Amino acid sequence: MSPEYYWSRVFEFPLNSKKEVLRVLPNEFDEYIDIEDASYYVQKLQGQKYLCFAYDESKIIEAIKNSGLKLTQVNNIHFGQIEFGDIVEGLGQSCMKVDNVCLSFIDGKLVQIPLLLQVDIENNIDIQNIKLSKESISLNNSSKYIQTDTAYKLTAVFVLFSLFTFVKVIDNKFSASEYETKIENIKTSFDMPATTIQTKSIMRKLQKISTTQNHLRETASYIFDLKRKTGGTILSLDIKDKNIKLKVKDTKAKKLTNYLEKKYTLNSAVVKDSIVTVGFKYE
Amino acid sequence: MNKIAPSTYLLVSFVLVLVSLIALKSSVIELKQQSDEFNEFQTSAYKYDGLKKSWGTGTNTSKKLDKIISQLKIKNINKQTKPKKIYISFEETDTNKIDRFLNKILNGNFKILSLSITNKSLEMEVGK
Repeated sequence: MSPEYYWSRVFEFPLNSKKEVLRVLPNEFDEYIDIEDASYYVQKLQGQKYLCFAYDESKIIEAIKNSGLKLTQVNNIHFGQIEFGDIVEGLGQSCMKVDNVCLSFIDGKLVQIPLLLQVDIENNIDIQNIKLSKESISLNNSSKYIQTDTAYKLTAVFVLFSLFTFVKVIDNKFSASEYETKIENIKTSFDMPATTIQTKSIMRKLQKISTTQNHLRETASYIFDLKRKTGGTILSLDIKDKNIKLKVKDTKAKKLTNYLEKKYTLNSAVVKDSIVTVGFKYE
Repeated sequence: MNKIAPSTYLLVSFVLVLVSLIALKSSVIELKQQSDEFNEFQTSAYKYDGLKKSWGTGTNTSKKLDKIISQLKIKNINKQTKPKKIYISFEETDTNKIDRFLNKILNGNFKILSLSITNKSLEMEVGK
């Protein structure tokens, strides 16, 4: 990165880590630049000396875009100050040409020589063959709304959440498939037919028998209760195909029919020799 | 090599969350459906079992009748077993025995096809 995109200065801080230096840098650069849009980078030198950089990321991004490159094609950005320092020392010259831009070290600082002052030198440096140091910055090109760290943290949270969710999905699928096994086990233990249609058909048949038999018993119970209610004596009772024929003595026909008609519709009621014979049908 | 932007990771992971949530919802619906079907089947199975035990065929109707006859010591009983039903008739001077026999029949799960009683006799057909 050409010096036109950053400010650099060596500071001496009684601090031990780059992180601590980064915290105090905005105050140090405050008098030279607008620190509101600035980002910072620190390279530790000897002792408590630090080579500090301040740069405006948006300007770098703009320059990359203007050069026709996509931001995704740029992995790391290196500072000319750091990368060219060793080369200059090796050459013993302070001026160099990089991509037709004339650069020079003045008082230990890499500066770009204005076009008017540029001299015709042959000290061209092939930037492609420079062995770059590990000192570099990455552009925060994710979004202007979200920090890279935040983006990575959110990504991790989302991925973890998705993993847990998918585990739960698999668990649900497994639980759902277990119901099939449970149904088969019940079918075996209750000796049920293979299909639901067969089961329902049998149940309808058995339910019909159950209903008919319950009604028969209710009717019988009602009839046997008539002695207590009407005072008569049952001589005979015939039940067949839901038809009832009942013979009662020692009772008044009206009393008996009134009692029976509370629940049933009588088909016949005959009184002969003090014996009341009634016929009716239950459902 | 192109560098993948953190926002891309974020977007992809967000899509992953959406997909996982859709899959979860689908699996929950499927599970509830299976659970409901199972509960419905279980209820139906218990009902089937109860009905079959009470009114199904092969419930040893003949043996149960013999047991009642033996318990009440009813003599001169006419019992005829046919393929689908059992015919029983007897005459009994002890009205109490007829009442007790009838009570046991009505309280038991016998398929009464026909019943004819007087104070001295009982005739009935019971389904097998």
